[in-house]
Amino acid sequence: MKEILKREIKFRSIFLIVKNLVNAIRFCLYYELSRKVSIYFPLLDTLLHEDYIKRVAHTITEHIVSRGSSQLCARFLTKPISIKEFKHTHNLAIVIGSLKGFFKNLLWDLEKDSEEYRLISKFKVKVIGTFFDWLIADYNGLKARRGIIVNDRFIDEVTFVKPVPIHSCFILNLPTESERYLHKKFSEALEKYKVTLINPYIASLRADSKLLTHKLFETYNAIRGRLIEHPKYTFVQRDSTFSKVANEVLTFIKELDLKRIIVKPTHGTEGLYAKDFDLRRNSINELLNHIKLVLNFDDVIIEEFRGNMLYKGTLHFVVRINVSWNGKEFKVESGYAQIAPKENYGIATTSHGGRIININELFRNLYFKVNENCIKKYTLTKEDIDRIKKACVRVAEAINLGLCERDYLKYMGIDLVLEVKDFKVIPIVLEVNSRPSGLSYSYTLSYDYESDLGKANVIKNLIKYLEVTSHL
Amino acid sequence: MTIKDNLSIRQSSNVECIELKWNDPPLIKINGSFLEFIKSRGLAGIYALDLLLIYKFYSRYQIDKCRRALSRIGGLYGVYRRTLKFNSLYNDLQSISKTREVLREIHERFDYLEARLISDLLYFEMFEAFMDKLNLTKDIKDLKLIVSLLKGRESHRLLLDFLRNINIYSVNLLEQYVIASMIVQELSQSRKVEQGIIENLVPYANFINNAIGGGLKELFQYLKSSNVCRKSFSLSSFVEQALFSSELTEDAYNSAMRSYIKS
Repeated sequence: MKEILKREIKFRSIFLIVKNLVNAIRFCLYYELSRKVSIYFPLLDTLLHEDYIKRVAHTITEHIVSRGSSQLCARFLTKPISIKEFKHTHNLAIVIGSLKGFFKNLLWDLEKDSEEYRLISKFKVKVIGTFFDWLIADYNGLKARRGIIVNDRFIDEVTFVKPVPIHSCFILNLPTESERYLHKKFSEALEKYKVTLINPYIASLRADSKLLTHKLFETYNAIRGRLIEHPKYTFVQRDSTFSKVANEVLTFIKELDLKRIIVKPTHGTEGLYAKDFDLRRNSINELLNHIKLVLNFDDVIIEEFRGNMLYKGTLHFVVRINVSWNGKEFKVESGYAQIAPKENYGIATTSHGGRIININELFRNLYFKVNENCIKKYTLTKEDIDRIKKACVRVAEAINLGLCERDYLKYMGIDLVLEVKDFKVIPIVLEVNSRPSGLSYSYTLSYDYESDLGKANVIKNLIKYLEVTSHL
Repeated sequence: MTIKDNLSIRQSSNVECIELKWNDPPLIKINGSFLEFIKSRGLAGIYALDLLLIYKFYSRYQIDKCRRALSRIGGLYGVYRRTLKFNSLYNDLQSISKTREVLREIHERFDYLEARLISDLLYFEMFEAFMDKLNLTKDIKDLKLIVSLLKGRESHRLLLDFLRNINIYSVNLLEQYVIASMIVQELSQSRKVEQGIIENLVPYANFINNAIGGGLKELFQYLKSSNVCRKSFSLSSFVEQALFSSELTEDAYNSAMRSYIKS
């Protein structure tokens, strides 16, 4: 939590300085540029527009924060561009609420996936990043007036000469503080038009609530046999009296004889306000105080701590697997791993200082706890990887239980921890993300992980579905 | 009559379509049959009314020719900016085609020229592209000069004459954007900028709200410095120094800015 706040504060303070700087020198730059290359800027649309300046400042800030590690070069084009390139293509809009999280890198990866797909099939997908306000309804069709697009080696923010028709939408990158509200708003507005929604709100709701997710797993297991392994949990509602809360929590711990638990806000994202309690070291008061804190703004889920496998024998981790719908079945696209910041730290998300690594790199370095004093290396088998994949497909089916295809959550990020039991790896499902982040770090799961770190992949399976539904 | 958030709205048969009076609270008078028409067009009617009101709000009737032209461009720019936020404001997707149709109908039925102008504006994705079209429109002659000034195509003298003709203290925020754009384009697009011109433009630039015209003062200071100094501290090296240093701090920014402006 502190880490993410620190990073956020650093980003914001740099952003403010950059914005002031851009504001101060914008006309000097323009003057110098027009002297050198006889350029004309439509100032009322660009340098005199606050939103434009903000986006320029954001891009520069990202460059500074990443210390130029991203090779992508962003441009802001001042002349409207032709829509020829978008005429006979399936246009996938990534509807965003913010540019956070190096969105441009994601856009690049999505475009590369669609280019690769184009090589094997003639179906062309063009990816357009767009803010909700850049979309319009034109004779009942959805169109984008502006967009962020991949153009050769650049990521360009452009205005289109004519609005570009949009055929499908994927809602991603919303500001954390208003994520669910904006998703609902965007989704409801988009549903009225003939577009394919990759993550409609009705299905996202199920993933956004950790309680609903658990309930759906239970229902799925009841119908199809115990197929999804997930932690035991208890749920505390906001309006409960504190004595009732304390009573319920203590009973839960006692009945299951738990030594370690995780407390999370029911609708939390990115591990914010999630806390790991080792009951042999942390006092019950500490636990109850944290629950009290979370109850100020959300219901609480308390889960048993799971996962006996460690990265390099010391660090906890979470595996993120991206699953998508291809029109026939759910399939695993790719994944990455998040490694906890220090030994014995139970939460691995980046908001807690965790770092992201290639999933196959994790597979190379898996160890498991035989007991408290003994740790052994584990060599992951093809069967283990298939078990992980299968579990994720079942999770996708469970989340969409009872929904029609139109309302399916067609893309999701599934968080797992791994446990060794009877000499095989069991995936334990922690949660499902309907607006998965970190997609740019995603690589395919390789059976031959010792020599092959997988291929970059985000939406290749999903594109098959777009092809099926497309009228092109 | 209804009063909402310090705004009174009254239905009246004495107005042609909409009238905005700057009473306390401000009063909007709407013609009864016009209102009926708006209602009959559903959400697109509401959007059209919203845009017409925004135009009215930013383009108060002016007698003087220059002032009126500025006011009209300011009003249209206000409408353009409003359309960019429409989805968020209404929590829905703006049906641009339907709104355009309603505005066309308003023009035809009620002989409301501004409705046609706004309808035309909705065809354009950029405000300045719309202005190019405006420049070609025969019946909006009084806007020609202002459009030309906005493009930096006129002489310094014409710009100064224009600015002298308007009462700078009466311009609203949207009009300030237009003036800021005129000044910057004039300086950037002309081949040579004489010191006298800069001196004459400074008072107008000083008047512009800092949130809108931030950077104008810096441009003037930059232009006042000699060419030799400017070359010795090029803008690109400044940007590099200020933006791409390993740690960007307020101090680093301020000192880079100071040395840049002084140079």
